[in-house]
Amino acid sequence: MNLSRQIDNFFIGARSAWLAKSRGLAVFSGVLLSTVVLSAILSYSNALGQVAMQESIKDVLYDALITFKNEPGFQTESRTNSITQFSSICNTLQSKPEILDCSLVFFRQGIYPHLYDNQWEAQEKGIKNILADIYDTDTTAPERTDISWNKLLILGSDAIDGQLGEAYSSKIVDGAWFDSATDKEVVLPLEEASKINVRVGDKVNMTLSFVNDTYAEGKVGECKSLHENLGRSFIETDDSGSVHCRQTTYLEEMSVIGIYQAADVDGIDIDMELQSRIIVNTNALRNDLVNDLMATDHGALALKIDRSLIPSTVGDAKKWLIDLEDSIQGTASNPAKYSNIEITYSDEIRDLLSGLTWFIVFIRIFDYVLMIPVILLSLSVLIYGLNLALEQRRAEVAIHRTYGGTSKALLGLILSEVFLVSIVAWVAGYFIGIFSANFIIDAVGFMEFESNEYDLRFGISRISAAVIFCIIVGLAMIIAWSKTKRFLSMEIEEAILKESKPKTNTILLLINITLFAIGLTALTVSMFKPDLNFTNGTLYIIGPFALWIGGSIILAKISGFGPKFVAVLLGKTPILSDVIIGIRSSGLNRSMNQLGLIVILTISIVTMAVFQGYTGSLVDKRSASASSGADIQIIFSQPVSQLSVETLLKSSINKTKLSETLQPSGFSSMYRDRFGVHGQRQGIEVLVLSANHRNVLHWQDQTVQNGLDSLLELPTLGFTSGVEAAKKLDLAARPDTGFINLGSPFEDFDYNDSGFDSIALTYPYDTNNPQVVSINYIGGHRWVPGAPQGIQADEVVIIEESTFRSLNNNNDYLASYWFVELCDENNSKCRKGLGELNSHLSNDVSVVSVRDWATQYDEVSRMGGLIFGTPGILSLQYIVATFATLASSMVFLSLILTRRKRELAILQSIGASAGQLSRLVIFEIISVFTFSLILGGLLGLGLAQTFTGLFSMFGAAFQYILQSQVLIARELVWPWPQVLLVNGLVFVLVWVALMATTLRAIRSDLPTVLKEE
Amino acid sequence: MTILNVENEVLRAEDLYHVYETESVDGNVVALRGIHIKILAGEVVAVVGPSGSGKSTLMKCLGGLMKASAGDVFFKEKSIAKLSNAELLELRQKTVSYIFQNSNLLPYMTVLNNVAMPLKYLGVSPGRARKEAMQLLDRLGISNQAKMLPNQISGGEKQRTAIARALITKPTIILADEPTGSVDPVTSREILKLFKEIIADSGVSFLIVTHNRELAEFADRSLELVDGRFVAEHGSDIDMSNLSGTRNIIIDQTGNMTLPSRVLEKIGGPGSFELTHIERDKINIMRAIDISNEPVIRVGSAQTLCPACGYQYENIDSDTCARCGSLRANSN
Repeated sequence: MNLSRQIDNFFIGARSAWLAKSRGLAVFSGVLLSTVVLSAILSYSNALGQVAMQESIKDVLYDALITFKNEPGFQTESRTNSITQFSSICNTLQSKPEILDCSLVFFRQGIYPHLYDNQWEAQEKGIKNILADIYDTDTTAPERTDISWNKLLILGSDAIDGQLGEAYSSKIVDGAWFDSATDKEVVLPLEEASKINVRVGDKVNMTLSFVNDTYAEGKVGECKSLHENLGRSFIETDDSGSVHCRQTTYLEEMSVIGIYQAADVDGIDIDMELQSRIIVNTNALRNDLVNDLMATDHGALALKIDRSLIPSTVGDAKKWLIDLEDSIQGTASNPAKYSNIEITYSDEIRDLLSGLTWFIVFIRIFDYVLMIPVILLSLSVLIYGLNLALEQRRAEVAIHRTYGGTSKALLGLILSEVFLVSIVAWVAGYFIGIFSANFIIDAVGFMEFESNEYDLRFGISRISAAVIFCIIVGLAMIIAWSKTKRFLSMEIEEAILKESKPKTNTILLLINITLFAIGLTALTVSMFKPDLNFTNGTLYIIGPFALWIGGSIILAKISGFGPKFVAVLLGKTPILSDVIIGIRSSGLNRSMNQLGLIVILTISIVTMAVFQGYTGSLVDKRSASASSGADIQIIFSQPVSQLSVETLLKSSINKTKLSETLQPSGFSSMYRDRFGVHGQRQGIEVLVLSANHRNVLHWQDQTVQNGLDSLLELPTLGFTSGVEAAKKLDLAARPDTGFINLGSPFEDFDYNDSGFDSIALTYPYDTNNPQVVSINYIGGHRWVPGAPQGIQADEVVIIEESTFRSLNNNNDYLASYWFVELCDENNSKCRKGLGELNSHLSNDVSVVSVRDWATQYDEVSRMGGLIFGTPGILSLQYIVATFATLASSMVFLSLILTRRKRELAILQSIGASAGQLSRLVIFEIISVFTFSLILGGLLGLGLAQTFTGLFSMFGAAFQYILQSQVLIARELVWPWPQVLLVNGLVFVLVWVALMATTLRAIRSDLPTVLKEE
Repeated sequence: MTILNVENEVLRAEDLYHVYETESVDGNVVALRGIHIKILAGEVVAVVGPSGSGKSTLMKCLGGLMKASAGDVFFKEKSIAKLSNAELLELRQKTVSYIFQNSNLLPYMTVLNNVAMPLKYLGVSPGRARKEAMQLLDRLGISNQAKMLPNQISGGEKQRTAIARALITKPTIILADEPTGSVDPVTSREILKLFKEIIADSGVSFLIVTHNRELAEFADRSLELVDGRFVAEHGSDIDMSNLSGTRNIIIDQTGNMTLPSRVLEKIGGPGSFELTHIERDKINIMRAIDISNEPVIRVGSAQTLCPACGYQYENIDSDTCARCGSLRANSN
């Protein structure tokens, strides 16, 4: 086909698509929806990967270190002791777009391999850090044996500001960051400040120590002069026997200007220890000391990379980082030289990203699995729309053939039209999909969105885009091709006159019935026997999809009886009595049944998404509650009384802007100690909860084996036990009827009714004459709300304050862990206030850490709760399914009604009034739609229940991967008001769309229709 | 009337049968029962007959839009039953064109594109096709409507467009199924005038299925189709209100002769007849058994009522029902 003919085809196709709007829209909406779904999923999945990557490195304060390649004394021309020359490398590096900042820092001596037993060994990391000891200004420098050294970071003047300085200053929780114009200042990590009880504004003295020489094993004598010259200098010997001579110096009257809290970074190594060091800057040091540090190889260049340039996938990111490293460091055979200086580039973030590979793969697998229904739905809409649209071309094709239309030309004509519409829809869908990922990534719960702080690039790779294009446009073209071929294979007369008769495919029907049966089995298992074993696991994976696909098709057939049901129900009423014959005799055509199928598919997804979405949000809240334990959790460095807590809390609340919202209404403490048990040599870890714990701690039904009411027995010498403690104490374990079986730690318990129901607890532990009390076992606990890190809930028993008082002679006791009830966390002001209060409390030096419910919830929900990315996916499913329902209702119904115009015209010609026709059609359509809606809703309930098994499996896997201490079981919640509201909204929208479309079709000029037909 | 000449033959059908398969309890419907027809170059042939007699089926089978159940159609001695799809396509592109009662215009194409489309299928470039189509539309007086869509023009304009589309490929024969059936009398006359001009200009043959008196009178000859058979032929003096006045009974190539029901009734119904005289162009027949003492078998003895609509025939001497046009008698 020549070009002019092809252009002519495209022109005619475009015009035809534009003029036949319903037809064009059917194709357009199908392609658009499918493209939106696929591109949004891929873009969202891509963004999730970026979030995971950024989360994993967000607390890393710098990205790479540059040190000399060669050790002192070896190829001396490749090194320098000149600070200016070394720093000038930064000028070269910062000319690269990838490098945002480069600054000189001093923190440890270079790491080089050393010869040991005639073999080269890697030098032990961390041995040659610059260390500091801090003490009061009035105190004489303590003897070496009395001091505890801390690691020190000395920032060059360029590192105080810029990106590196900003990274540290953003972690300041009290006071301020360095001002380059001042000197003799120090910034302390929070833990260190709490330990030595130093506050911002205090002045301290410091002893600084660094290695100025290293000798082989046994040559301790070489460092003697060091001892003699500098009194506090000392010798350090590492595991390999090497002798490190440490020189010391004093920094006096240093002002503590700020306290910072750097988050822990997983996979921490020596270099990453820059995270929590005492920080001074070179202004505080004598120039000769700085030169000494440089001369003794303590200098390094800390780099900040422009992370926005890092590719969005782990593989690409790693390759990018390696390329960057190579470009800066050069290769072994061709090292990069900076005025002859050769360097080693130590990437600090690549390893962290490497660890994410499988995590992200896992996320994507789950997300893709979860999106299967909505992908299938969108493709169904595409296929259905194309079939409807092309079916209307049948007569046109026949007319073309009458006047000599060749197969090739007609295929070209129709494929051109479909291709043009598909291309436009695909481009629109692609950008909408990519754009919508922007919103989906903000999901923090089902249809709850909050803007995020990540720097994300939305988009998909060209290959992915090409694959989506091939799948969707390819599918559209294949359908158009096969449909046109079918038209062409018909006799012209047959194509003009007849509508194809649906053929009942018995095999397909049997397959669907089988799928439905499998789905129903999975539903039954997930409801009544949700144990996790191979059979059930298989059912949990395939069951939801079998139920959805098989169920939809079978139920769609049932929904076809809607009009007959309405006829029976309302046939004798004035509403339908005059049109009842029309309704009874109107054989619903295939298209209408397919619309019923689409409605069932969509409504079931909407319903499932609502239930699972709200369940996910609830699980997130439970996770937050399990983590914080109460509205706020405060851990003190020393045990304190309630009065102290109240005083601190009041002063901190007054500093917030929401002091009226934050009203302490209950305090509870947690005291941890080792107690003795008769018959147990090693005793047991015990958590003592204060009397008010039931009002303050966020207990949940899942937390304790025998339900929350069993906690009422705690004050009367009752106790609960973790599963490991129960085994250790040989307790009379009972079946865990109070737990969701799936993933319960008690599942593998060797039930032993002959075990102990009570134990004799003794206190203090390890004394000759302890107090003894017999306590009664009231059941197991799965976790302890707000249990601090380091406490393994499995291994402890819980008693209440009154029990403890009977053991410690009724004395008051102090506790380090405190929990406070402050406000209703469903209130946004409360959440905001809790976050603010957290930062004020954290600034207090007596406080080691603070966890508030709102921050925990934000973190949990932002990270997708139990399953990374789920809130976004469920929200996307809901939006897509709603859109699909609306599109089906408006566009497809319009096409269906167009095909029925003649029937309506005949009815009008034999005397049916417009009102009667409207009622006839509307009741018929609405009855099918309402039936489909009800059946879809029921199917959605079943799906929600069946999907619980799948969610639970993946949720448990995620919690395992993320090493969550608390395994929250995913108990499906049934938020009926929300479900009715959401489904009601869809119902109203679709109903309005149906009415508008139907009335428009009925109001068309029917006599003209009759004449033309 | 054009003199029949084998060399000028454009279309010939032999022993054409068509059966519609139905799920009716009465079984399948036999729409054509051994049709023989020849159309010569430049000849205008009308097919007349009551509704349901098989006129449209005949036209579709002749034009290859529908395969006949039996028999064959020849265009210039080429059997369409033996034509490949490509040859059939070529036939539709170059030899035969169609005009339908309801125009069958492509709804989402302009009048111009509707007319130009057949030329494009012939391989003419789109630009040239549109130019030629425009010239034709101008000739037919509807060039002003060229950019309009079918739903924006009148019934007459639609039919002119359909005629233009049929003419654009300069076919040998045009098959027209009730071309004036959906237009008013004035437009109908305009179309008739147009046909006359076309025939005068191009010499194209026409096979016109019609109920229209003027259109039938315009034809060189009219074939009367009753219940799937040609029963008679009429000249251009055909009287549509009383076909018996102008009727010539047909004896076809296989020797079959079908009498119209009224004729059958007049001779006393079916029976055994003796050929009392035979010579070229002439036969006499006489009933072999005297039936004067036997009850008269009236064809369709209960046919005082129309079987289709229940109309009372009374004594009106007509072959068709005055109300619904159904055939009055069963002539089997």
